[in-house]
Amino acid sequence: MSLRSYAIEVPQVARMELDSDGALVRRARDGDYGAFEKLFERHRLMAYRFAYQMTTRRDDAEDIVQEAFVRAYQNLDRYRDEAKFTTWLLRIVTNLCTDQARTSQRRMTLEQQEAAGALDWMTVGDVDDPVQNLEEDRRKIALKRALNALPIHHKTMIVLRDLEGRDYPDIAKIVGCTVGGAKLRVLRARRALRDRVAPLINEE
Amino acid sequence: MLAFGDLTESEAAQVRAMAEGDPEAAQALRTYESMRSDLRSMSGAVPADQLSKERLQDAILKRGLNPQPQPRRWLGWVMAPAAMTVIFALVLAFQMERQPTPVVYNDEPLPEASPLAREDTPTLKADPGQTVSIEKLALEDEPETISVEKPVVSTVKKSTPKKRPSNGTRVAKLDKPAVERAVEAPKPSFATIPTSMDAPKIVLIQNDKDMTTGALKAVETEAYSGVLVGS
Repeated sequence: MSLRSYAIEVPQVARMELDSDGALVRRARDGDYGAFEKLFERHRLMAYRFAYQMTTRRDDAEDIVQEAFVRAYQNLDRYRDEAKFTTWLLRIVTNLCTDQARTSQRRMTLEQQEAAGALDWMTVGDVDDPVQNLEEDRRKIALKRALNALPIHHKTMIVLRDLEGRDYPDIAKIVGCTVGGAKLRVLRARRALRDRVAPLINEE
Repeated sequence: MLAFGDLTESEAAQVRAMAEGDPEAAQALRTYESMRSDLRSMSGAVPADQLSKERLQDAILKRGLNPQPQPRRWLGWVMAPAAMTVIFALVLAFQMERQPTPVVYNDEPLPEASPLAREDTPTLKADPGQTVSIEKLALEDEPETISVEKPVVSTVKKSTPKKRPSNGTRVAKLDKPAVERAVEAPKPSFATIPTSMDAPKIVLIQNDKDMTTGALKAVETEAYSGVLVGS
């Protein structure tokens, strides 16, 4: 590496450090609200996608994400710099989703969920092989129904691992357990999901 | 875990070998593999959100959190000691200005003082209230030079030759080899030897004390014949 290229790279590294999540959190903690807005813009889609997959309702997901960022702003002093901001934020979102699932009075019944997915079933699919597309859609619908019917602690593990693709150390920090405990919880969640969806898949 | 790719290559090979001979295990493996592919296809499908920075700021304000710059925490740890230091310095300076110097000028006319003789050794007369005795001293060594910017008290003993300073300081040059030294009995007082023969100034510390301050009275004079020099 030549000296010239090294001299060019140093400022870029410095800029990356200044713009990192940790640096933005420190600035927000010191009173720079613009830094917190940058964090919001950077991570709101990730948080919203996770919340939507947990709640399956857009309004609920938006409320949960907004509340999560408000709580994050309120508790910036508690954020530890060595942890990832996304992990900390998802922990807040997970707790809010759990609270919402346990106390919600407006949970849709399985019949209402099936009715809501009926139109999707009719429009989704490849026209060339309607039979095969019909089977895939039925399987997916069945899987979705089974996933939404899971207890919230099982659903959380499936969403974090199999839908969001989080690694086990991150999942452990989000749910507050060890890595081995996270693997065990994912295993149990998958087993519970398979028990619900297997009869529907095996019938085909 | 095999179907979802959570096992290592060796572990996956072992599990597959075990599942080949078991129909139920093979069925479960197929179910899990189907679940994995379907879940992957579900992960990207979410409707667009309506979240915004303005909506977030409204929510923060409604919560009573003020998104304004907060004072830096460490500033208190720096400002408090700095403020205390400044206050202490101001108080000290004020007190130093208020305290008068313990020098009182009496209204009595100054005793007649003979000007110091430049050519001769200065002869000093005693103050009417003081007993003095004068001893003549003589330098055995050659006169040395002194560079003095402020008054200094120097005493030279007859039996002790004055040593030349080894640190490079210069010693004042005396016109006459003899220097008289006055010794007061019973109590010596101190006087400043004029730095310049043109305008000698002497502060005489008297034995009397001032009634108000309790300090010894001092008299400033340009020349005085009865100066007592302490050793």
